Amino acid sequence: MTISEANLPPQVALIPIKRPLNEDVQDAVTNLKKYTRGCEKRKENDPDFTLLQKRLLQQLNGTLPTSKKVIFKYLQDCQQEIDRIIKQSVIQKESHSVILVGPRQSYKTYLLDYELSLLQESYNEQFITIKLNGFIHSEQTAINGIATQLEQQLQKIHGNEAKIDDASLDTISSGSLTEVFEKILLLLDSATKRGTEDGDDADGSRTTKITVVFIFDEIDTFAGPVRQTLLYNLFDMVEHARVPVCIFGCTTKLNILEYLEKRVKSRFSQRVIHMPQIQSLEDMIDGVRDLLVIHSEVSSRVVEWNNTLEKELSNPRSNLNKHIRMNFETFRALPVLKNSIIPLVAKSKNFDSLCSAIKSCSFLDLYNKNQLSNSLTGRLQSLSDLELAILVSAARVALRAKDGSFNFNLAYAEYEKMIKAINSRIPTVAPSVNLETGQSTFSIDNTIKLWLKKDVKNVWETLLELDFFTEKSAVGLRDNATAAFYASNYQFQGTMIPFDLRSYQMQIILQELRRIIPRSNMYYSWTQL
Amino acid sequence: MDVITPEVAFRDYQTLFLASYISADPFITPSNLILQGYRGTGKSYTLKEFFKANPDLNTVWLEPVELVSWKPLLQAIARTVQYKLKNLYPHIPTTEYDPLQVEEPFLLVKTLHNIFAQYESLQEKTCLFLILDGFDSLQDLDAALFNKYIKLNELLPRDSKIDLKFIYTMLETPFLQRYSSHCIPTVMFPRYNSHEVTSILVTSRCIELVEDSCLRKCIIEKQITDCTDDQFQGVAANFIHLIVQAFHSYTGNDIFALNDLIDFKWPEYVSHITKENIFEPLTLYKSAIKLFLSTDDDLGTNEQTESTVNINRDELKSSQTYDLSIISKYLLIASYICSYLEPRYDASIFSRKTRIIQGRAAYGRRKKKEVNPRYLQPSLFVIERLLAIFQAIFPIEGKAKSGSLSALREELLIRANIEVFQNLSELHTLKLIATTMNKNIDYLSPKVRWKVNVPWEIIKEISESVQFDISDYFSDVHE
Repeated sequence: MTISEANLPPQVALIPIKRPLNEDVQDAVTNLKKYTRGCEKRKENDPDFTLLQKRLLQQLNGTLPTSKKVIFKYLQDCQQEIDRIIKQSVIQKESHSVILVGPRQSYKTYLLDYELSLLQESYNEQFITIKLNGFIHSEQTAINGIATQLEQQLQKIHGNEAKIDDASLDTISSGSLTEVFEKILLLLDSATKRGTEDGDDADGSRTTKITVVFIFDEIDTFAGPVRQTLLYNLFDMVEHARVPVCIFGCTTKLNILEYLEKRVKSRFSQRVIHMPQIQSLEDMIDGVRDLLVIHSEVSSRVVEWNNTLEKELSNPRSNLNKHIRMNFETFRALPVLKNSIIPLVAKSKNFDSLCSAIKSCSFLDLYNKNQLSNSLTGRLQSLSDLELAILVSAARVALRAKDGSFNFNLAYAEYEKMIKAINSRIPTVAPSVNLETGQSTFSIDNTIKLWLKKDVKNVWETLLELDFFTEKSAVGLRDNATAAFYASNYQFQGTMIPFDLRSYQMQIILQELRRIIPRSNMYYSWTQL
Repeated sequence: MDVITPEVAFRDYQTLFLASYISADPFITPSNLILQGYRGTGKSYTLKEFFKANPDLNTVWLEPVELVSWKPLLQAIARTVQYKLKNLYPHIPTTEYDPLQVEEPFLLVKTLHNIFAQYESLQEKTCLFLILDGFDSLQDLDAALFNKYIKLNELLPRDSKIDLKFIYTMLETPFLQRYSSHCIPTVMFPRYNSHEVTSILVTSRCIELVEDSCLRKCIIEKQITDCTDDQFQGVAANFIHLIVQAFHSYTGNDIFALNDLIDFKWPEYVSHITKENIFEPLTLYKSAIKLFLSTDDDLGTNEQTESTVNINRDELKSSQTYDLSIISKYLLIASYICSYLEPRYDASIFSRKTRIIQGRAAYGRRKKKEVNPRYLQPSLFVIERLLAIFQAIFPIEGKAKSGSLSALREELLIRANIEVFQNLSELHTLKLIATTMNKNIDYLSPKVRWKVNVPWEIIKEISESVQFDISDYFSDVHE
């Protein structure tokens, strides 16, 4: 996210003593406001435009009906591969197992959903889908998850007749955990009876079995270091069971095969598909084109819109292209760009404003600015003068310390020294001796107030809350619930010792502070030792 | 789009953004949306205003901060969603599922699946917005929890009539950044600047302050009759401006802290209003100048500083912070010395006796230290050293008549009698003296080391109460 900072206007004067308002931002926002309000007043309520807008938003959200969904060009090879595997197992009843590897938001689930819903249209009765997620299911609950979904899905296919089928096994999902697991295994492992029966139900002449498609999200959590029972059994089915089973595992780990135990690995088909990545800028531009060009005649404005867009995309110097290039060089992820285009489309009130918005892309600048507004820089710019002074003093102490740690006492001592030094250099009518002793009794306008230790405590806690300081060698968020539970039972030393003796560490060091604080600030000269 | 954008001061971009992401149509609404901003940046307010302006969007509000752990959160989701749907569609017959049965994330999926399946008869797909207001304020938070909620919608049936959409608000950017690769649309709520804070406070507090009973009473008592409502508003607005200007550097852009200061200082300020100065802000400010110089945000001493004169305050100070016994006080002082002075210089500081056998006294510290040790954490000491220093600093007991026989029997220096140890263990249970962290520490073990757990400010007060000049001992070290 940091790179798009370059795109922002130069930092406005921050934390000045007089604190003028941030005029740039204000202007941009008020303009925007006026603009949209103005549009609202006109309120043409053009139905053509609303249709276009809705269609565009659906395209961006990926919620079009399956037949109209667009698969990006760079993903098509991968989609073909998945398509082949699914069709082989659903139509030709082969058992397959495959793992999809790719970073987050690389369309793993999207492609699987797409393929399954395509098959749903023509081969609805032929397969059932069972979805498991490594985040939500544990080794234990996954068994229940499989059983429940088997039951639900089978009911959908069989309707009421399912009762006959399940009578022997009662219902699949009831009973104790071992019972349930046994039932699942029995059902899937040797489902000859079920296969013939349901074939009779479906056609009467041919007997086909129902393919069970498993989709694992985060399959690496099931491939934990301990036992991997679930994966073992499922991969075993691929090899031995008479029910065609197709297993898709999605993961983000590149070395997923190293997670698998020897026996699990030997049962796995060794087919790992790596999700394709965007290789070139053209891929990205094509992707945006696929997202924004409308292929069907939903509105009378479609041709006009497509032409506008095509012009913007084909012009390498257009603003839209600039943003695409920026994304290509930083995130290289279409979903990030998608998030910023959605409000651009949704906030437009009519067709002309939409066209001009895509031409100027000024909203994207505003969007990027907002995304970064709570970053370390943004937070630093929102500090008051005292907060900044304390932050600078703490950073000075941290820089001098060997381990970069400090506490309230040390930082306050530094602050006191700093304010005294500033005040002694300010030419005043009064002798400087008076300045050092009295804070309120002999206050002269142009000196700087030295806040008391008890007052600064509030500021200290604000800085802590804003993540400028962290407790020394703190483990912030635990990885999982058990670790968090253990931590909550442990009383840490930092909570036992007095407030002003607790050790902290800096999140932003003095050299960085110096680059963000403007030169006009009175504490600027204190940003170096 | 078909949503109305409410007017929220200084949050134009954010409302626009919300309006473009949240809508009644589930096809164009993302299933996860994050609102991030630090405390007091108007996240909940804006979100509430947004849904107030769009009453046809169904929402369920939950506050994870009061649900503490992950399991109650799951159960609360099951409970409130079910309850909300029942209220929304009373004509649809449903069987109630026990929300307390939800003990796993997977069981929540199952329960929601069952609940939503009952609403298949609805005409069209609708969104139900589940707002987890302050997700990262959940006390038992861990890094794996948020993932579970992000992926919940993938396990819920896609063609269900009720589409659950999650909206999270969260405080901290480090938490958010853990999940940045999920590319969930996020609206940032930056902190207000001082100008924005002032105008928000003026619009939100002015009327309340004017209607406050203390102002009403004051006006009646002082017979200020020639005043309009606008002028009262002006007084209140001016007060808020003054408060912000005086305390902005103390509070920063924190609306809650400024609100507290306003509430705290308004009655005082009103008491300074007279017929003459109500129209002259400057004279009113000068007459109430005390209010704007110190924050007075501690409890206890406030009444004294305001109502009584300074002499009284000194008396108050001399009656000390702690009602400890005299032995305890000296023990605490001794332990402070033990923790902050190095053992190698003890002999040069505390030894006073004349020597019979020849020997050299310790030289003491050659050079002053560069860092004041009082600023640093206390170091550990053994119990014998504490007792030795305690004896060295404890005032001499029993004044024997000079030359009498009783002087022989008398031990001038205090011994570690039963009271000393009693007081010592009491100090430990009061957490004024600490040990190394260990479960079930054994006091009698030679391995146990001790340290003082009291800051300098308190030890200074304690030593003043027994007329012991502890700063003398530390002036050689650094100051």
